[in-house]
Amino acid sequence: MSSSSMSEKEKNKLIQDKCQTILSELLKDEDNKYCVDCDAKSPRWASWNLGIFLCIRCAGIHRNLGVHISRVKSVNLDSWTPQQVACIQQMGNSRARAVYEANIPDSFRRPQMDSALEQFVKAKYEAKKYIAREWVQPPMPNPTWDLELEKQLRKKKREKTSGTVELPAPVSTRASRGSSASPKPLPKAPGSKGASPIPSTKNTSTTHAPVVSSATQDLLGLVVSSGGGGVSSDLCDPFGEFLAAPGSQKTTASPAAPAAPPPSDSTKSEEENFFNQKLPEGSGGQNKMSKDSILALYSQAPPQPQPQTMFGVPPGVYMNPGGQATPQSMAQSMTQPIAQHMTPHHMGQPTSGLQNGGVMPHPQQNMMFMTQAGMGGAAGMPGAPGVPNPFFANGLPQSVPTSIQLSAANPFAQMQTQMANMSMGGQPGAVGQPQGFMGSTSGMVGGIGMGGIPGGAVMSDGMTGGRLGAAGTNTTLATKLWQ
Amino acid sequence: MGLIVSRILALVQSKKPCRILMVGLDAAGKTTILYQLKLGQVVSTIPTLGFNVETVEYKNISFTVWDVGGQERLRPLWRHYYSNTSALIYVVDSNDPERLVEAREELHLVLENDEIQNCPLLVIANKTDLPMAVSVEELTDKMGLRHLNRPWCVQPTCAIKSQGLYEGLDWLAAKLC
Repeated sequence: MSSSSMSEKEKNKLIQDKCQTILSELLKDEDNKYCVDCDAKSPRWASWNLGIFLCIRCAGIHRNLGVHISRVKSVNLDSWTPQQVACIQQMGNSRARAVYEANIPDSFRRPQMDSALEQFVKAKYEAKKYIAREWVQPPMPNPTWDLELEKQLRKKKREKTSGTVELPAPVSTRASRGSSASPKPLPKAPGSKGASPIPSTKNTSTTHAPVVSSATQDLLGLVVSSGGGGVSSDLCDPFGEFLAAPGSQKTTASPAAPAAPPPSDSTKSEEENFFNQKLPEGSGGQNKMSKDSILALYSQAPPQPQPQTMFGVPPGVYMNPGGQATPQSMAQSMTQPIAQHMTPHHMGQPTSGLQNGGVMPHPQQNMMFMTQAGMGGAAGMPGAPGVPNPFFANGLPQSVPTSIQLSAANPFAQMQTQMANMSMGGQPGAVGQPQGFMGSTSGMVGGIGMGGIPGGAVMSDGMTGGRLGAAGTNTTLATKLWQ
Repeated sequence: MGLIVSRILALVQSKKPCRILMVGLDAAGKTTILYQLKLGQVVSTIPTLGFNVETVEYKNISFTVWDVGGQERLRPLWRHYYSNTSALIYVVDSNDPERLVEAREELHLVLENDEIQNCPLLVIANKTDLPMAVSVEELTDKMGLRHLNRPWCVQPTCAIKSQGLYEGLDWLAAKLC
């Protein structure tokens, strides 16, 4: 009895971990690095029935639509079922844009104001104003990898009881799981990351070699295609020339992907062209991509064998062990302003921190959030590691910077900061009138949730987080209160 | 002088303070309800990651309403708000029948707690204007309320139209006086 409930728990934990891994892989995709509706960086929310990733603000708007239109979940604060994850794998932000924004006017600019954005989201999903007419909702995917997981678990149990010690083969099992998780690899931009086997720290050594070679291929592809990169040459931004490389790299089957090449490249490039025309922020996405692919060439951070996740690695420091980074690419990255900009930012970080470099937001922007969030963000973080945190083990969000992770995945840290905020308002207890919060009503529109959110949490979704600038200054007091 | 007099008057006439905890699954409408009560208008909200708290004065009672984030991994934090709570508001999205089971399980977990053993329970069946909304009867059954041995009430509401909210507060006020 107890063992069966135990294995049930274990199974659920495995499924949850797996879901989280798939989700964080999906979030590393170029497709999903920006909110599908407003282009905010690093979305941490999703509407699983629509199959899209959202920022917290758009998540709020989506929740207003009702669950019959959009079912919103937090990537990190909710648990997911395999089916929900599969829905997102099936769609993704780029596809969703192709579907839900098919008939959007050419002159359309993505609204940034709250009310305009809300109208846009309603028009897009409720009235389905811009939807592709020929679009037919595919049937709900029915992934079976959770059953396989269960089988494996049972097998492992049996082995344990029979006393035979067999070494687990993490690479192969993971690979098979990965592929079965996503039966239909979608035409994802830089290699179908979502469908690729998920690497773990365990198998780093075994996967090093292929990565090195693929990085080289990547480099070659980049160099070759940069000549004929007419695809995105119509972009009129300062990086236009530079961007030609990744743009066309996208349309050629990306060699960096260990998985099968994207099946329908032409549609993909169509999509890309389509969005390149439309989005004012499109250039930002392209910049990102170029950074990605270029810095990927230097990638050898131990825990993350996937090239795409590596651009946070400082070029000079983490050279390929095999010496694959050619002087050519070196020079390229050095002349690239963004790459230069990134370098000092990461230099000071310990190697372990680099694991999260994959989706590191623009340093400038990151810094900006920091400043906006003020002490709230900064002071909220140190408090986090000291607190017993039952959620920490639960699938860390792999794709956010470490600092943000702490606050986002750690509600206790939030609580503390909130309590600190409260006590600043007057009474240092959980009971009583928190005058500090009354003030929050005044500036409310779009920021309600922030009344209680410390800067750190707000940062995680890139919201304007300045409202409670001083929230975390009293963290020590708060810690006492809660311990 | 006038200020002092008014302060004293305010003290004498002060309303009965009452601490209300409002919980429920994510996207049930807790924050919208809170600010509808506080401001009488619909505000655009984002998912609550921490909590919001506002004092709402109604019928000689000063309700201090705590609205706590409902995301799954925030729910274990609810228990930190239980102490000294006079009443519990549990908000349910009646337009989301698929998650009624989850809502029931969470509610019953909350109700097990000693600190809020005798608190009256106001279940707000929100979003009754939406197409898939279940009836109050069905919701009462599915939430497993009938066997509860504490005062409870299911109040259908539409928070964005401010329908039903004050009726719910009326019931609470009656139970708390």
